[in-house]
Amino acid sequence: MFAVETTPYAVNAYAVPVWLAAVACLLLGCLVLIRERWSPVSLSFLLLTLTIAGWLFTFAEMYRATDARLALWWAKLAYLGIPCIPAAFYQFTVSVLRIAARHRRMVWIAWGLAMLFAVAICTTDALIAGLYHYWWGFYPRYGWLSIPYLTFFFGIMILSLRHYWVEYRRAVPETIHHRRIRLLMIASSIVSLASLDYLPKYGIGLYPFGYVPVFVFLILAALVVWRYHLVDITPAFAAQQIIGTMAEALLVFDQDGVVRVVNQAACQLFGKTEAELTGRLFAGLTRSFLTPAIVSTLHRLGAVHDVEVTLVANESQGSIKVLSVSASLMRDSRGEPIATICIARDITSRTQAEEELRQAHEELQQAHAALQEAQLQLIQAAKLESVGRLAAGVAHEVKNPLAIILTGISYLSRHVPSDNGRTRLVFDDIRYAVRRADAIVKGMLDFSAPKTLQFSREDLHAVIERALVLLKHEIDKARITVVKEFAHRVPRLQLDGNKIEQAFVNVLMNAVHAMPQGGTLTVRTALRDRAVVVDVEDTGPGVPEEALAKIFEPFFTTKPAGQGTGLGLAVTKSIVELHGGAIELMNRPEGGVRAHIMFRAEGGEPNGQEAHPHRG
Amino acid sequence: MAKKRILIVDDEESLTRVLKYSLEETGTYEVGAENKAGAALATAKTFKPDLILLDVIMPELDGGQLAEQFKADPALHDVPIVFLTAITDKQEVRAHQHLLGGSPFLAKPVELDEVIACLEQQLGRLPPQ
Repeated sequence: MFAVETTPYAVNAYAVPVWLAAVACLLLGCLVLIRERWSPVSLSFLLLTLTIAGWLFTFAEMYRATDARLALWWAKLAYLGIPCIPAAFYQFTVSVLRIAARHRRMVWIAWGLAMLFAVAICTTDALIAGLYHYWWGFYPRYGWLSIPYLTFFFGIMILSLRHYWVEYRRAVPETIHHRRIRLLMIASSIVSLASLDYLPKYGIGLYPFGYVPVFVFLILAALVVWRYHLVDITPAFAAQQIIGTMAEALLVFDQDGVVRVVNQAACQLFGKTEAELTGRLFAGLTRSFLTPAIVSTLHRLGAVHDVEVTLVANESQGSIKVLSVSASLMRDSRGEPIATICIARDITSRTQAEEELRQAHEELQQAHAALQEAQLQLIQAAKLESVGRLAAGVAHEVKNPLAIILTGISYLSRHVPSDNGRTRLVFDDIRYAVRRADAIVKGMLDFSAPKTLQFSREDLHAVIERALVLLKHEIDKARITVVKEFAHRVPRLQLDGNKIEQAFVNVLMNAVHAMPQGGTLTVRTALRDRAVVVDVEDTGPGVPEEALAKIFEPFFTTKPAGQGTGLGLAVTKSIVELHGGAIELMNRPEGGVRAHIMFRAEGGEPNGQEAHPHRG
Repeated sequence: MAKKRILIVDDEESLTRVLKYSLEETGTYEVGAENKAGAALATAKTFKPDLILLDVIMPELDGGQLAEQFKADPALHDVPIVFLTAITDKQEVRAHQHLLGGSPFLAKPVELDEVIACLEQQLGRLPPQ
């Protein structure tokens, strides 16, 4: 081959730095390409370094050539690539400034013109009309085409510099982009000095030192690459980075349920490496993520969000995790689903916290309800206490006038002849009225009595029996049958016998009053869950439901006027509650009323009494 | 049967009057009444009662204090006392028991027959029930 023969070449010291610059330029282009992972910017930079390296290499060979024809051949070869330098520079400029999309047409125009010039230069002598032979070697001599060619060359270069300037002004000061443009602008200005290499082409014997500014440009460009990165943040590049930095676990299952892609978070979640997880079918894992519900929703809607999934994340540790899973279908270009992308967030601690919060909330609600109940009871107790205090004061004052009336009636009745029936009847009415008033006052006094109890171990059955004895006259008068169903082994209870007796008298009296035409009075005791329960049942007409809510309020009565003071059940409730017990009244489904009284049986001892149903 | 002298000490004038009339009309009692607790001791010394019917709750002095004064007086020391009280609650009575000194009491309002029965019993003319 003509061009590679060694004889027409001489050792030329001036060619060496040019040749070295060409090699350095190529190396730099490759370095940027590798470092920037084949990004569009790095490719355009490589293209630029290739064109520059081509220019320098061919010119170095031209200097070394001793034969004019050979030198001209190298010159022509050089100009196959040299017109491409401004086009490559322009492409690199718009790429690095991230304005390539807006100036794509101009890139094509630059390359088109470059090709036209390259063809024209190589096929005609219009640009390279001949050679000069300078002291450093042969050099091309420009013809008439040099005017449009240089216009093209400098035009493109100036356009590139203008882009740098505009973007530099537009960039936010002191950002990385701003500093990058500034450095590239300085590098581009310096490389423009290489255009002085054109002077010898017009006969001016200035040594073409263009490789020096080119070399400086390359160093500065390398600096830009090294310090500021020329990489483009493309979706593909970003996606990889995002997947790696995601806090959520990412898993991509193929159509067979095989894990194809995982990220670092998924590896941590399952305690496995990426290699262990991918390419394998974990039936349990796939089932946990791709539940029938998720798969069905995916095929219907294409995506699901925040579905709660519980699974054993690390089989060796047996740790159970609660995950919030979002999934979507990955489709091919025809829209056919090819994989399922699952993103899982570990919400175990949040779920636990929520559960704890829910429990705390429930407890709080219960406490709140209890507090409200206690508050109501307090209000009620305070109300009753004030009523009681008032009643006690009134009672003492009422007793004296009642005493005067009653004694007065006794006195007057002795002065009325025994045959004066009407007057005697009136006196009896007055006497009865005084007794009623006295009963009310007595009830008020009971109600307001000091809330201290004289406790002793009492046999509850004996207390009930005593109360029944007190009411025997009334029971017999109304022809009421008494049925006693006393439980076995009811423990003796700590009670104030007198108070409890009074309470039972009140309850039994109510039952008796409910059955003026006779009936059955049942008294039943039972031991249930450490409580002694006494049920007093009558077969009367029952109590209207709306009255049940008020039945324990003082002065509330359902009895006819004159029969009840309205204090009996209030006093009873107060006594039972003082004993830590409870009382409620309800209508029995079969008719009549049941008074349900409970006492705590802790610490009690069974009295061994046996049930003995009894009719009296 | 000689009339027994009964002294009623109560701040309720109407009550002492109706009691006085009622008891006197039985023909077996001579009744004196005193409505001021402070003057009761002097009245009793003058009246020389066989029994004192004494209210518990009175202004100035209560029945218990007055009873102590009667018991402290040699002339009245052995005169039985029956308390007339508006206190009917057993616990309250128990609380005042030290004042009542074991004396019987009648709870207001009370029928005349009950009063007479109690007086006769204390005067030893009726056996205790």
